[in-house]
Amino acid sequence: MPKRTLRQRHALRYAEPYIYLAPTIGLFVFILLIPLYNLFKYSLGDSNIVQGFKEWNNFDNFKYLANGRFLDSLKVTGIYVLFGVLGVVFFGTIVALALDKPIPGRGLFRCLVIIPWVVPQALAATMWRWVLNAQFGFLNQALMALGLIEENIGFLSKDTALATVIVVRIWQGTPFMIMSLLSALQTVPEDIHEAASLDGVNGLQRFFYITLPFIRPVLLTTTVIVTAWTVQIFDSVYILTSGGPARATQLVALEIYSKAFTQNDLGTACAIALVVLAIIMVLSVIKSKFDEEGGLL
Amino acid sequence: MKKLFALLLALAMVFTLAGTALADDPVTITLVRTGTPEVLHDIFEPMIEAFEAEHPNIKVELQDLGWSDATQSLQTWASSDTLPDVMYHLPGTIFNLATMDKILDLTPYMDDELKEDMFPSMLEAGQFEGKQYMAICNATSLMLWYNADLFEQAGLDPDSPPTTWAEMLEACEALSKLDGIKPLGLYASPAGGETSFVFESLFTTEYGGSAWDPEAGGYVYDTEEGKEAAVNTLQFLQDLTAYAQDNYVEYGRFDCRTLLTNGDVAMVLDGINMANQMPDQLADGSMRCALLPAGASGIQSTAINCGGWYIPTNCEHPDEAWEFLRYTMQTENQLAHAKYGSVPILKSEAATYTDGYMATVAASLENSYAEGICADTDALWEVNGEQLQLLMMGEQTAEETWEAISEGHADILG
Repeated sequence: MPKRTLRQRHALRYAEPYIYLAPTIGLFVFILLIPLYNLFKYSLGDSNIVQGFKEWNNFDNFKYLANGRFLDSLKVTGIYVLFGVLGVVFFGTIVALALDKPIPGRGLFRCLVIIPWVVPQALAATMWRWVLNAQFGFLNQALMALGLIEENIGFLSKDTALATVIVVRIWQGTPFMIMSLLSALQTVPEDIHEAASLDGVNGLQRFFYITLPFIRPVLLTTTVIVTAWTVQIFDSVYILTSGGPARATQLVALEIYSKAFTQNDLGTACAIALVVLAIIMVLSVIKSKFDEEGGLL
Repeated sequence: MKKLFALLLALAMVFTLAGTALADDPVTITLVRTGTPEVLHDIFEPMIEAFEAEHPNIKVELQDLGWSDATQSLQTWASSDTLPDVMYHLPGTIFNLATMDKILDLTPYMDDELKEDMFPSMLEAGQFEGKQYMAICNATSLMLWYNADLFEQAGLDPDSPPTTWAEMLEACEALSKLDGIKPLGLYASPAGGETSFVFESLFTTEYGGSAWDPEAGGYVYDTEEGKEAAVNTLQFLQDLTAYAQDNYVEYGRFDCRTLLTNGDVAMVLDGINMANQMPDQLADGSMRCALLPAGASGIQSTAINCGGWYIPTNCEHPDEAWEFLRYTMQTENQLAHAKYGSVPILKSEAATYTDGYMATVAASLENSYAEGICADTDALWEVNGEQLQLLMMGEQTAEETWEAISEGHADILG
């Protein structure tokens, strides 16, 4: 084997990391950059699922972003995300704190609470649909049997549907928050709690002045992740309500689906998707800040 | 020289044998009938077997596709020109693909015998922009399905079901006196154009003609010409809600079938698929069906909601594909296919139903109109579904609903 020159050895050393990175870069280009490129391209013209990009249309697709229908769906999404995430944080924190205590059967409870998270969303939504059915649903029948209601409740009617899909989101998202916070709670030194108890500090004060500062970085990062996921929720709401009644639960994700597949308007769907992409990017930047600084607050 | 001659002879023999083998190789065509596979296999496997026996040069490969992801699968196949050789689907999606030159025009293939045997509304339902892109093989009209026992209990004559909107409201009023039931099962969930179909069918009985103008390529009911009839129809739909089950906005067509078969409601407006839910009750007469009550025109008409066969332009063996498609459209095969849930498509098929509920269903086709279908149907139905939902929830008046539908349609159609 011929001996390599100094120049060749330098070149190889310089190229070596790039050679190792090449498969990852290739994968990155394949699964991220190409779709991203297509997203921009399709948003700039008349496009459909079958033919792809057809022709440039003077940013016509972006006009829909000022349309009342889209703004309504943005508002619905805002409410869904706000209350969905608040619910996940609230119930996730309470359950995590409860499961951090040495209660009997704690291991079993810890296993049980992750069930909503591991069940596929489509399956869970179908199950919820049956549970909430206005006529034959388990929940109505149970409430009726207990004498708590005299008439069936329409859980998916116009006034209640958004609240219902938010509850389902909280049910699905809480386990992730519980698991994250349970691991964060392991970092809280027990001796500080004991000292606080000796000083007569009550439970609420202990949570706000001892526990919360310790778990805050994890809580904030997890909240940002849950927010990003909630913005993208599609399947469970689609199965439960299809965005109805009368667009009461028409999230932006459902709007994208409707534009692309029902109205065959891939261009506008991509323009809306760019808005979602921008929101997710902002959330990603916030999360990165938390990761770097161990929590901004 | 001899060697060269021998070589050429050998090559000639090889090519001849290969040619013969190729000529004898049967052509394989792929068939997709969207729907429930276990039911469809029982219908199509014997049909395919008989066809292959008659046509040894053609093999048919039946593939399964459920409804849940059918349209998305179809669009993916179309984008890569890998659509199956013969496939069943709904006109809205197929006509949309036709605008992209993905669907074969079947006009040259349609023989007079088939055209004359098909009900005119069925033939028209497969046409788009003057071309026959589909051969309709499965359809439904909208019928009034009712519980004869509950009719008797309410003092109504089950042998004389309501024939007009006024009579239907009177029947609702009488049935509302019964305890523990609601007169009517209504569905306001907008999925799949269900409520559009009800609205369009009722509109035909008020307007006295089709809801679709093929010349203009648009609906009649969203124009000034059809406004009065459309508003009256919308008002009638809103009036019916007073007699419907609670929370009807959450109900789809399938839910209402259960309500009727359970005896929770006395009447439901639905298609032929209702029959599969209660074959025994239909046989003993406790459940019955009637023509759709008429509006101002006095004609008990209906729109026709349908699906059909098409051949894509990427099919490499269109003649063989048509051969099989035409075979499925023979009377006895169409009768077998209809067991999946369909009104008769062929007049020869309808003639076999002389009594029972199927005779009534067949009679509904005498005054039937192809439901308006164009490349934007799915989007138009989405508008209808949303606005009809608002109407039926009492959120807007009939007039406001008409205006919203007209504006929504105009936005889509430009």
